[in-house]
Amino acid sequence: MDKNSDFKRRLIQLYSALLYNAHVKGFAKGEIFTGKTKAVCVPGFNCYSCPGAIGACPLGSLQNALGSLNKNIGFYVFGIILLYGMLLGRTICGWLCPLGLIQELLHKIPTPKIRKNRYTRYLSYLKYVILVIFVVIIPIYYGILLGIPVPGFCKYICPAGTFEGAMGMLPKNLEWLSMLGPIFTRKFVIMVIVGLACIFCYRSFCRFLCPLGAIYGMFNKISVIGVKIDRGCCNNCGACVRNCKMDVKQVGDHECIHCAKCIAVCNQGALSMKAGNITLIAPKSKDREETAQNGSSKKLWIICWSIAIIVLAVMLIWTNYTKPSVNDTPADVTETIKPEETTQPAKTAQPVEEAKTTEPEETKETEETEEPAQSAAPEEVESSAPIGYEVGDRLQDFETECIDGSTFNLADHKGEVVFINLWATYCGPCVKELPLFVDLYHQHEGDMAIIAIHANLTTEDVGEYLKDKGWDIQFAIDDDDENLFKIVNGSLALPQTIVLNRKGEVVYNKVGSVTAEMLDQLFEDASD
Amino acid sequence: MNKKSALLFIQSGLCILTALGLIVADLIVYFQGSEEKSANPMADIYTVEAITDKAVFVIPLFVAAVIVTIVCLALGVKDAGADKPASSVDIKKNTEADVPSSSTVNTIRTILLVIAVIFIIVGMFNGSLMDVFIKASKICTECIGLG
Repeated sequence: MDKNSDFKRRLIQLYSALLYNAHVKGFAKGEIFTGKTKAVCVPGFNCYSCPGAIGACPLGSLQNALGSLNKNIGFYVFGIILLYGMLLGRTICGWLCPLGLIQELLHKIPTPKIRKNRYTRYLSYLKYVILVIFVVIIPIYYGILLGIPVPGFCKYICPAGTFEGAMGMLPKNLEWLSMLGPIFTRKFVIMVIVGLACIFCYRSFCRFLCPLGAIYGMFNKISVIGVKIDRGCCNNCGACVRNCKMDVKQVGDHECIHCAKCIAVCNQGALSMKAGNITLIAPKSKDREETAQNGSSKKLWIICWSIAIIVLAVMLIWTNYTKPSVNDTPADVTETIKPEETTQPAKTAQPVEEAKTTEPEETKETEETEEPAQSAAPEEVESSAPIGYEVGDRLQDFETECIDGSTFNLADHKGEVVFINLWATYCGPCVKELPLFVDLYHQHEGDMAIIAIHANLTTEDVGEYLKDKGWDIQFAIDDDDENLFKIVNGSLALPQTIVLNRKGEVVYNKVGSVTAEMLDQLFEDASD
Repeated sequence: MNKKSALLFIQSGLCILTALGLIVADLIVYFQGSEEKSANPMADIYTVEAITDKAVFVIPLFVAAVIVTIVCLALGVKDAGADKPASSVDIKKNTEADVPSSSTVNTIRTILLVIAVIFIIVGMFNGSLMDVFIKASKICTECIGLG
């Protein structure tokens, strides 16, 4: 591969990294993108929790699909990985993976380098072990047998999730620091070690750990695009393998990332990069001879790049300057209800008349005769705090229909401690912590109220799910406009817990899992 | 040891020390925070103050590593052996690669393409497309290491 081709590859890597993360303003705002393109799996390794990501990570999607095989067969994910594998194989690793680009850039840091050897070759099989254990067994075991979605690789290993997701979101969401614990510590250490390894050893993550590369590697010999061998020209000199930095034994095997560097070192002209019958990078010896072909190849490159630039420009404009998200971000909308406002969220969320609580002195006399039940709340529970969702604010009253047919009206629970939990069936930590809320409710029944609000996005029958679980607290599902989430400043991250004291004031509102000890403490604090 | 090798050696040391510094700082923050949390369940393990306190020791190492990198790049210092062909590797003959014949490959590709397209279309209707969208639009905190 000459310098020109190497430059082209770098340009394509940069392009794909930018295209996958076109939601640039997400980095500035610390918010993830929720537009419809998030349903499309990108071919390379790119965490969908990265603030810039406009597509889904195929590996994360695969784990989720495997973990919910008993509910819904993930045909879409299987199909798209099959399609990418068949078309590109590990060409994706060499040309279209942002994590590959980061690793190559880290390897540019000038230090003594560890070259490939028989030990790195042995290590290269580790990714298959990781694929089986963390991508297949753990999600299936936890998801199907225990009913808790656990994407094993994402949760325990993935440095891309830590680097792009956690590190991308934390600076703009400092309150999320409160949820960091052992998982973050472990994953941060893994990320640093992988980063360090990449400095000394070429594409360490790719070669030794990446299960996505392991999957695509299985398609390498049949992929449409890749480095192809002209067996008639090859004299088996081995220059290609010896000069390759990956742990290949022969060109195009499961370790080959089709970076095409071997083409430049093959003096026999036996290697070329092809897409079917179209030559993308000509063999070395034919470089100068086939000027006519080079001319047409140049035209092809120009056409491809023109289309690519238009696509990128469209994505940049669409994701950053329009509002493609399924819902407006909760933070923006809640700003409008923070002042004492009377607009009513639609459908399920029906806040009771604000006048009752915001102007108690004026309305008390007239309402006492009409609705004695509501005004019967004890005098001491009245709060003069402004309406809002932050600690110290009084939460806006709302009423919602629950899954079991009952109704939850926040105003009815004045004088009680109220716990509001935002969750989803597909969120592992949410499902793990909900039994703690049920236990807490039974400990303090009559003195507290709990409502668990499921995110509006779901393909599952939540009612059936709850019947299986047997949790006997009130559950509701948010409406299409996420009005309940907006009232409590529901984040794009789950789970989230909101605790109100007896006056209806927020004493806790944080994203992240809670423990039984924390819940007890929160109840005590809210009871005071 | 010549000057270039010394520079590479220093750079290696700085990279390793920076990484070690980050790991040690992270572990200290975690263990100190865990102690506090065991005493008070509502205490945070990671706080801005704790991170800032520990990061102070890592930042100089990181800055030094960046400076040495710039110097090395400017002087063109790099491991000369890095781009040399590997010697002790197992090589299989390219001509003996067990690649199926082109007609077999084409048949396999066609079958896979058909299966992939069918799967994608079925996935659009059975809800698995929506599942991907949902998981990509709501962050599971533990999945990205926030836990």
